[in-house]
Amino acid sequence: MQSLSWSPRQFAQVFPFHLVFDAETHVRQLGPSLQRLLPAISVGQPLSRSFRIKRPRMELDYASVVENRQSLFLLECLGTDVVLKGQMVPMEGEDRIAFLCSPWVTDLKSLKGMGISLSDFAVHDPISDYLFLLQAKDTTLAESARLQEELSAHRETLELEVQQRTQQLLREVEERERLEERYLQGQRMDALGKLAGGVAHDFNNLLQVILTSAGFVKDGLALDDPRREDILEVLEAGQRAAVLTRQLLTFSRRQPVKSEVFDVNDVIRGIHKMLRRLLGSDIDLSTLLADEPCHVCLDKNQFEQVIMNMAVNARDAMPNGGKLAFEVATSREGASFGCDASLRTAGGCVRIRVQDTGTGMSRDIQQHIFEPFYTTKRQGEGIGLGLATSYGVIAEAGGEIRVRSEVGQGTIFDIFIPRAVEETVPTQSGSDDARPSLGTGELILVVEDEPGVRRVACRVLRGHGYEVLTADNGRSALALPETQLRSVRLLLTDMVMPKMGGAELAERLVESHPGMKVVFMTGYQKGEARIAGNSDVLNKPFTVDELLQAVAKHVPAQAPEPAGSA
Amino acid sequence: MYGLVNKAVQDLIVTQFGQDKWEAVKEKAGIDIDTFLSMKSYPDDITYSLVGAAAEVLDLTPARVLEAFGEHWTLYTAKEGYGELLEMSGSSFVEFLQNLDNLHVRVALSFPELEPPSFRCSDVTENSVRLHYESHREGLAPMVVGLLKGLGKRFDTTVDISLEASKDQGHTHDEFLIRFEKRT
Repeated sequence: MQSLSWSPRQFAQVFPFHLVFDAETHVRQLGPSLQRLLPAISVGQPLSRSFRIKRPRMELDYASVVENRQSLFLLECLGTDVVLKGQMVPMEGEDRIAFLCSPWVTDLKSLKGMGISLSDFAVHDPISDYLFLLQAKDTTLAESARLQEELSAHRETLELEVQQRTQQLLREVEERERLEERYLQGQRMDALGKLAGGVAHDFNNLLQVILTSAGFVKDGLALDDPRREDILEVLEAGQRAAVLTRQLLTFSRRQPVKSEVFDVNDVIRGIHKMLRRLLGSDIDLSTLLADEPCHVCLDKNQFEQVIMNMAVNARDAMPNGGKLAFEVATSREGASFGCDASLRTAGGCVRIRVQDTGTGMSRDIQQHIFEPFYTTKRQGEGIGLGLATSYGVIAEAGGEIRVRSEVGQGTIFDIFIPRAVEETVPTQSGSDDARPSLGTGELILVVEDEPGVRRVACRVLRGHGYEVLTADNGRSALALPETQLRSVRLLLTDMVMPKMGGAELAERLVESHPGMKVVFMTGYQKGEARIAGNSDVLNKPFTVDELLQAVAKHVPAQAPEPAGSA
Repeated sequence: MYGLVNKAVQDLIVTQFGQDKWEAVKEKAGIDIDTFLSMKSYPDDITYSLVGAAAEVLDLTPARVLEAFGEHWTLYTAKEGYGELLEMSGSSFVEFLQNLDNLHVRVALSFPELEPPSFRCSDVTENSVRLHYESHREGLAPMVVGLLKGLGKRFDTTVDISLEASKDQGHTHDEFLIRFEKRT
């Protein structure tokens, strides 16, 4: 193989950083790029003045260098940061060694610091490639770091969004569960209401017969008759039973109510003394009323009963005393109380909070407390209709009752009632003080499908001077001869009957006989018929006096004709 | 092409026209990539689509977009961590052009799928140089004009470029005559 024969210029071009030294280790030749890199070094000066061998660990003497010529040499340039990396190559036929090297650089920035550029390196020198790779590495690392930062930022944003969405979903799930629970509770209460209402209706008809018939027996007995006491017991028991059926009807929202607009603050203020007496001295009663009027529209007496029921329950839950607080608040936006959408839209609602420090209730008990005849009290202390009727009263007014309680932590009842937006006239008139009076042959049409009730009503009316026509449903009544219907002064009719109910019958008869008055007998449904000026409602079971009052109100007794008149 | 090129297109549009325009360009080009990776090779079609969409969205000719991109490229690569490389590749406008092929060969070490164009200088005088540009890609001559203008700015040199021979006119490659003068 032919050896290469290079001129010094070619040698310098191929090895621009070379350095040649002799056996005395004096510098004999410097490549052009090395001269630029280390201008303080000149030909002739001892190598040890400017350099120290960093690798391999050895003294800088000619023989040692020759001996280790296969090693990779690192020469440290004293007084600078420059380190030369290369191979010691003994020159054939000469006592000289060529150190073929290049500066050790780890990045392009350091190259600039040395005052040289890529063009100082030989084009073939792999170090240029190495520097490019270093540059690519640095750039890639920088890009990775930037992407990492972006990723971290995205992750944080994502985590935040996930967290927010999770909380939102949890709230939605809780809300849905609450609504489902309340829906099921409502379904159960509705079913119970229908059952209770149906039972109470039938029971009222029976009580009507019992009470009225017992009244007839009582009236037929002399004041000193020993059986009189027995019949009075029957009447009293019947009245108590009637109270029970009314409570059941209230729970089932089928008890006619006398709605009126009143300020809840006034009611609480008005019954405060009564509550004080009811609770006793062991219980600390406090009331916090709202700063503004809290008008609601419902039966005021029933509302008072609700408050009393709450107070009695709280008292019974605090056998060793405690605190009971009534707080009235109102919101025009409703939502702030967290009540139902129906209450939020109707101009806000009124909240009556009843909070005690009593024994509290388990969740299981809370799910049943509004059911009729459900009670945790001992026998004889309550029959379980207080909260059931309260539920019915508030529901009838378009409101709701919520309970929060924990065993040993007391109980909070929140009663929500829609705000009454304007003063409204009570839907039914109050008590009627008309005194029963005897009829003078006025014709009354009694329409009732229950034979017992029909019979006792007829007996009462006939016994008090009225003439009576009867029918067992609306259609039968309309089938009576017109000559008879024309003489009817008052229609006394049941509401719910087969074939044709009382409402339709009244409407048709009044239309054809405008002067005819109407009294509905009902213990069942509110709103079955429009109660016009010429009509009235008689709640079953009614007493003889109540029936006569209702009739007399619409059919005033006519003055008896003077004796002997023509 | 490598993601670095697409990132440069993105940087050009975002910095000069705004993020909204970039989103519009991407949508127009049908590109659904949030982040281009510098070292990842993408199909050439993506770059061409971006340039075409940019021309439509920005109401410019594709040639004008390419020229703007070429000018932006030198600034962008310097900004993206290749500044030292550019700096080490030449201390003057003409020296840089002479080293441009070397630069591309070495860059290919880091970008193994790189198919760089070739830049060769001839007829170098004190104030002029003839640049021979060859690429297997079509229609990118306007980008070279932009690139030369960008380099002129980088080296504080005024350049006057004329296309002396064009591949479009049947020549084997594009040939630019560049007259330059270092600003004092």
